[in-house]
Amino acid sequence: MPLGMTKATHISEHKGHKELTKHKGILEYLNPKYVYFPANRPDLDYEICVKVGDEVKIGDVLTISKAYFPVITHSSVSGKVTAVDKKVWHPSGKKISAIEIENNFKEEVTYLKEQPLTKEGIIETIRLAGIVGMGGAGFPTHVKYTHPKYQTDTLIVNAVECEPYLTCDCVSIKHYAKELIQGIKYAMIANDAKKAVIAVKVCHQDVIAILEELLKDEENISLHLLTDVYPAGWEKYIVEKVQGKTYKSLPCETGAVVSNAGTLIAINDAVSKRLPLTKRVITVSGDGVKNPQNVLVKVGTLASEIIDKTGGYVDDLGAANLIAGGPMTGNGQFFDSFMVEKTTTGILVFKEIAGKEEACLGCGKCVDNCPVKLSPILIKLAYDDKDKEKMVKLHADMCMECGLCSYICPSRIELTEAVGKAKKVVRGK
Amino acid sequence: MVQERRFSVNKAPMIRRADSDSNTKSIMLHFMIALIPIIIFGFVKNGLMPFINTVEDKNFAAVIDMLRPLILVIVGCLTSFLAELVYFVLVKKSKTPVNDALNSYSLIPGLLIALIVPLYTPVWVLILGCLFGTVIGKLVFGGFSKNIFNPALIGYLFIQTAFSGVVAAHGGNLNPTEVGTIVSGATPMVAFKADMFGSYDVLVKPYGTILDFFLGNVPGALGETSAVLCLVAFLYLAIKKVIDWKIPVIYVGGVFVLTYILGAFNGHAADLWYPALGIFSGGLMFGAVFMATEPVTAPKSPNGRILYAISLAVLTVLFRYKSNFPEGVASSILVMNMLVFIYDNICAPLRVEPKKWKVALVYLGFALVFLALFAFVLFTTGKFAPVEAAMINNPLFLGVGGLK
Ligand code: SF4
Ligand code: SF4
Repeated sequence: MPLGMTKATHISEHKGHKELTKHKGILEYLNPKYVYFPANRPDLDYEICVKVGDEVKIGDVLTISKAYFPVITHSSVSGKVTAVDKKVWHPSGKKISAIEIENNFKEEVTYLKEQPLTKEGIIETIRLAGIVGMGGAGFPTHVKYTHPKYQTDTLIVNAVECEPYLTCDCVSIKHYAKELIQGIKYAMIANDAKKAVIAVKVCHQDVIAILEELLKDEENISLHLLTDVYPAGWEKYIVEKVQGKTYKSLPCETGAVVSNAGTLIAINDAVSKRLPLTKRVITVSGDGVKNPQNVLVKVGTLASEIIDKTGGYVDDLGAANLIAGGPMTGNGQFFDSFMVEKTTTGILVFKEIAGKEEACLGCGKCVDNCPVKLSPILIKLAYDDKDKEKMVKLHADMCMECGLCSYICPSRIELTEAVGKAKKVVRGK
Repeated sequence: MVQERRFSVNKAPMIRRADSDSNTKSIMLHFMIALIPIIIFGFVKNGLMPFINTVEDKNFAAVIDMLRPLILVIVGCLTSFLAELVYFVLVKKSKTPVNDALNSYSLIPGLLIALIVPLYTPVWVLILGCLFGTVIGKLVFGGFSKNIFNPALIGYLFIQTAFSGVVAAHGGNLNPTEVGTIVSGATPMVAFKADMFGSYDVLVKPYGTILDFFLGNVPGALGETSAVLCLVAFLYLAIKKVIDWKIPVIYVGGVFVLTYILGAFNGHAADLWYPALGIFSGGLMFGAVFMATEPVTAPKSPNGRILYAISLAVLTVLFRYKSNFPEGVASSILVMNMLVFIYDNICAPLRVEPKKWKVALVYLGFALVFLALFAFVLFTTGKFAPVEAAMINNPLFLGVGGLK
């Protein structure tokens, strides 16, 4: 492996868990009675564009985030705003104040304004449709596609989905393959990209077969197969594999821009059907639910209702964990009544395993397997000693909190947590 | 509306490999399994076969003698285990001392000591050794995972230094069959020490062929003679990912290469048996597979582990050819245990060091030290020994003329 490149690891013992949902269809649950959208988050303020009593349609603007890169949120149902400061659980694990909308089940839609099919027009549509990276990170896509300093020629489609259990991308591609290809074409225009590469794991043979069939007469779109490792869906890893070189902070340094498959399907909806992002496919899985399945839901639906729609929890569910997102990087939840955001990839329920932390064996597996080549156990020791100088020397700030070190440790040591804290110490200067 | 349900929140990630396989228990289990063939072999070779073939008067004492290898193993394990049990009861005031003692790999030091001490080590000496290894080598540091030195080797060294006379008086290493056939009464390592660049007839012939060395059919401690069984154990442990395969491979490979070079300069250029003898004897294979890889006392960083293994090879050769210790494996591992901390401190940041020249510089430094150490061994041994004498006597070089 060339110096400076990242690495990834087989976490094969959890490979099979994708099978729980991979070959099933997509269940639709598009008529929730209420939907919720963040009105205020500890880390983010919103400009609220509606007030209690307003009638809204699907696609009406509810909020615009007051972030450095503002993102628009649209209503996902038609109905009436019944509250703007209701306390509801959020996938981040905190309770926040939220806008509540009561569905009138009329499904009236406010369509996006038509834009020309040019680079600028498509980027504007993406912005107006409120599209963000749907793999979990949630970075605004229109900002990602505006990179004045760099010339990009390759669009990389992240269809890797390396988190165990999650299959929402994989199943979406199978169902919406044509839409995906069309979305890719729009994104290529938006980025002046001459070619597109779809990165997909070699183990998803069915997805590969469908895509190969569709790509037969597409000259500029090709497949790139990746081995089944974690974190193969990490942007840096994909770019290195596809481009053969690495970058410091942004993929466009290598002439590439990366988008998640779900994001591209959303772009197609926005450009061809003039629909903003108000729906997404979400994986409900784990040994705590009766029928693990992918569900097409409205953004803002409560997770408890979605779980209920799939058939609910297993009967003998005792103490359990609930996760919003993937099992490696997702957030643990105290209650199942949390709202689904655009970036929520999964709802996972696991029977609790009360594992105990043991003394470090010194096996070095955490060091061997860190994708950014950090030394988690040494950083943890430095953190326990409050030795900031050492944490700096060990580059704790490079951690991307992938969770692999804690996952792999035979002694079950909470390395990810410690390195995450050390990272804050180092960044806090 | 659907009823709300409460969940417990654990630290991310929510799935752990330790919950399915590859946890501390399974690692210990694999380690023990890997040792089983070696224990059986030791018993058959040193207990059963001599009893059947050589011992004429099959009385009670002879039966005890036959069971000797197993007794050593059991006593070793028990002693270490009990020592830790007492520690957990008295010092740690643990409520589940038996469980804790089992979880902290307490059986392993005693087991390993029993496999590397001479066959006729009196049982009370073994008990003292295991106590010393467990208490001084492990518990005074704060127990498992805090120890700096390999506890088994600490115990072994203790027996070697304090009781070598007692052990020799009780019969040392030779089993009853070997006593009858090996005229000189010496183990291969002693023979090697007496004539380091001796011919095949001196070094190998008295014990059979080089194949006997590979199979383990030569005098020596229970565990250390059979290279082939160590190899099998190595494959098992490496496939099960219990040990880092790079450490034994580099260590043993390194000793092979360095021994070959030394031999080549001293009349063994065409003899592959010479370096082969070097790696099949002196407990090198056993030490490389079971001791050098001991995770607590080896570096955590992968690049550190590679340098650690190379260092072990260089030091082992250095000790073998330049010191009074017969084998060099135990002492080099203990010396390197001391440096692990430094190796990790140097190597871990190198993996994320952006400046490539810095990385190259550090590795170059290591390479130079290795070369210098080996050059010292090469130019002061065998054929070149006169050079050493000239150097020491030359006031220009070391200024200690007259020392020799
Ligand atoms: S969580 Fe951080 S330290 Fe741990 S493996 Fe991932 S990047 Fe490395
Ligand atoms: S993986 Fe766990 S046991 Fe192994 S070195 Fe890292 S912290 Fe220690």
